[in-house]
Amino acid sequence: MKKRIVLITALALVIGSMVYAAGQKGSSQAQAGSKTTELSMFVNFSWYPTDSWTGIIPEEITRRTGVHINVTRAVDGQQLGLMLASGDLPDLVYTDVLLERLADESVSYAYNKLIQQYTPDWKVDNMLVANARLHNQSGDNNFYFIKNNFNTPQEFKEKAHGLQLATLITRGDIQDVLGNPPLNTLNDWSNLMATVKAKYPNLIPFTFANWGTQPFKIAHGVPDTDFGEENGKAFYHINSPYYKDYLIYMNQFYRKGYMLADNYSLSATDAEALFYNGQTFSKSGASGFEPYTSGVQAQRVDPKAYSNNVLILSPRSKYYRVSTGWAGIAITKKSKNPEAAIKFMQFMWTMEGARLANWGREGIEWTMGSNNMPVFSKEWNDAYADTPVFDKKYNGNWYFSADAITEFDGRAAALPPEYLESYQKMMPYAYICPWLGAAMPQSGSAERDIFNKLIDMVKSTETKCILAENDTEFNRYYNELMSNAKTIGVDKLEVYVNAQLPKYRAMYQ
Amino acid sequence: MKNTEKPWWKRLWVQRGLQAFVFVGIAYLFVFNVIPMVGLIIAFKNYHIQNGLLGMFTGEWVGFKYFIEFFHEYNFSQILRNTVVISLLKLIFGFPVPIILAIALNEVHNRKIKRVIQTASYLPYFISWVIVSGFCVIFLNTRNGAINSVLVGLGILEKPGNFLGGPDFFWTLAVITDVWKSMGWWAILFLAAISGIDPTLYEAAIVDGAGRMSRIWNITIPAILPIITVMMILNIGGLFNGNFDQSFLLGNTGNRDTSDIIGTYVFRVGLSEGRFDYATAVGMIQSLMSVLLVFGSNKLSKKLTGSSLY
Repeated sequence: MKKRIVLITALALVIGSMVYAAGQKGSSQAQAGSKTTELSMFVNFSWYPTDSWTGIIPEEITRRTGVHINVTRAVDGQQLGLMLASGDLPDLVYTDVLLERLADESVSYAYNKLIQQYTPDWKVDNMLVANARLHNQSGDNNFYFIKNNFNTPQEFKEKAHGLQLATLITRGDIQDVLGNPPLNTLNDWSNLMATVKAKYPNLIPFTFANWGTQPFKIAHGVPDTDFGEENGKAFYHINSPYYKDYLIYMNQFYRKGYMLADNYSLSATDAEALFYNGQTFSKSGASGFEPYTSGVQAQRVDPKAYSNNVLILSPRSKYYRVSTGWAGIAITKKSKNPEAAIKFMQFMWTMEGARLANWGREGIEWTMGSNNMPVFSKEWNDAYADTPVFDKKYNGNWYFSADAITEFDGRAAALPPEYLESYQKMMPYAYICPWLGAAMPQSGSAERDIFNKLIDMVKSTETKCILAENDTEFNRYYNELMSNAKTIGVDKLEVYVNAQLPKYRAMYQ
Repeated sequence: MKNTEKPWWKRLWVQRGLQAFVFVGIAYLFVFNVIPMVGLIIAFKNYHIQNGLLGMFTGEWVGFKYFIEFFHEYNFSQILRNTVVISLLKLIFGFPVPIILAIALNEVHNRKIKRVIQTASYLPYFISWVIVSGFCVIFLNTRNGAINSVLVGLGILEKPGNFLGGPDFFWTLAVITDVWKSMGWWAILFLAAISGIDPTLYEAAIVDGAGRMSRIWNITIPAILPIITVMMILNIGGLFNGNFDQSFLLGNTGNRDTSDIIGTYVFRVGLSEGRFDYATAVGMIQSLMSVLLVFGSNKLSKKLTGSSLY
């Protein structure tokens, strides 16, 4: 009898779960409609917060376009290179690197040709086309993707409420306990570090992940990009007159125990986790939603925790924005349905599509506010505070086509007002100069090899300078860095970039 | 008629069963090791991946441009030094360990203990370097790493040692982790060789009054000397290879002065940037050096010990 009951119960469970699963499948199919086209996409960002086309926003995009994306997220930075070498590509590739290799007729469909054939009513902005053509080395005048996250200097001037820039994120609750000492200068910051180290010996005063020590670079007046510009002349950032001061500051920072050498051996995820787990007082990050959500994550460990966005600026500070756009989607020659792909991209590049991908459904998740920023529903704001919950429920990570302002507004509008205020304080220090990004050497050129070698050398030698145990060691490494740069060809590179500048400055201004 | 006097095709036919096995191996090597060598041509050409396989032949010749470029790199000597020194240290400290372990295990007569030791020592071989590097971060970090806590606690170190983020300890770390990971695995090879030794030799030695150390010295070691020689030659051949996984995973910008080897350099500056032509040239230098070392060490071994690889 007992055996029978167990058997019947087990059978009921199995049948029940099968019926439920079938129902689930059926409902999602019903939502997607009977004419759903499946397109495979490789997302070339190993850090990407999601790898599934699920949640309110993707499902709504599918409902409106009839396209469902099968996502594969990169495991590491090398995967796409190998895929390109082997020719084993999906329908779509979403990437910010190796664009030159994708901008090739043997690898990808040219957007202009697909538009002509399938979506002749789609008029792509000339500036966006010009940005895409920067990566085209074949000389065929086609463009093979459109890069997102771009606005002209004029648009930034007129519409931007803030920018995603390197910033410092601190534990606000600890600052409260310490009496909120003023934090305006690098000296103030050093004093705070000393106080934190003395009063909280178990806390690491500062850690970094993807954003490195950029906020300190900017505070010193050193460009946090490869190249800076002064009086119309471009210079490699290590040739900034303040570069050595920045390195000395960081070296002192390390020697006083405000950051650990181990930080250089941690993965970005592990370094970030130190802040979330309450093991560090501050970190570098990006203005946007990170300063707020980092505090929310830290709250899981310490209910008192919240975070601040801290600006350490000096009259010399300059936030360079050299971007000619961030990432694009290439429609590869392996695509089984280029027509569906280009129509999908056309929708994504409408204002409706861009806002849906970033802000959710108009009238449900948001309505337009008086200051041209979205006003989000309570449900959205509640979810937004908790990144994993937000990612699961809405999955608003598919900013294929959003310009920088739309993306930033979506992030900032969901935050408590004090964060937006602090971002607006950054704006006067922003220097929007896409011509500087455009003037960088193209891959495959001798100058590009110099450029890449310099990045590699500076990265490692700069670390040695910062981790030097005494002044003698520091000076030795600093001199090594400068002489290696000369050996690699920094002067040649500066000459090249300065020769390119006028052409691109005219293009963007 | 003796077998050796038969024509070669007849001998081949007689051995067809065994030759079939050999054929599969040769075919594998031919497809995966010989045919790809055609690609070496791009070390002398301006090659763009966009041009695909055909680009190997249509790209313009640049001669020894990439070889010269590598020799003129600001960090060329450092990369070369790291590659050779790390491999040499592993050879000096790591090569005898599995031999000693095999001999020691051979002397253990309790089967259970022998099995436990053998399993425990060769298990690390199956742990990937990714996991090992994770272990290193956990045990060696300056904040709460167990090793640092012990060393500081015992007063051996004044302050936690920067084992991972600085250049001073990388070579030591590379050798220790490599020995720990591979000694049990290579010991199996020497154990197999030892198990092939005629037991009557030991019995005769015991009758003659030879002690344990004497038996090891006069019977075990000479008997496994050919396999030791072969392994040594192969190891010397790998002096210019280094261990990519280890250097890549345990290396960082802080310890690059000692962790950067030819393999990681090729990966970073060559492959990551899509410079396949340059990466091929550097890889070719590495291979040529390895071939020369194998030939050289084989010749030397033949002269000194009489045993060799070929």
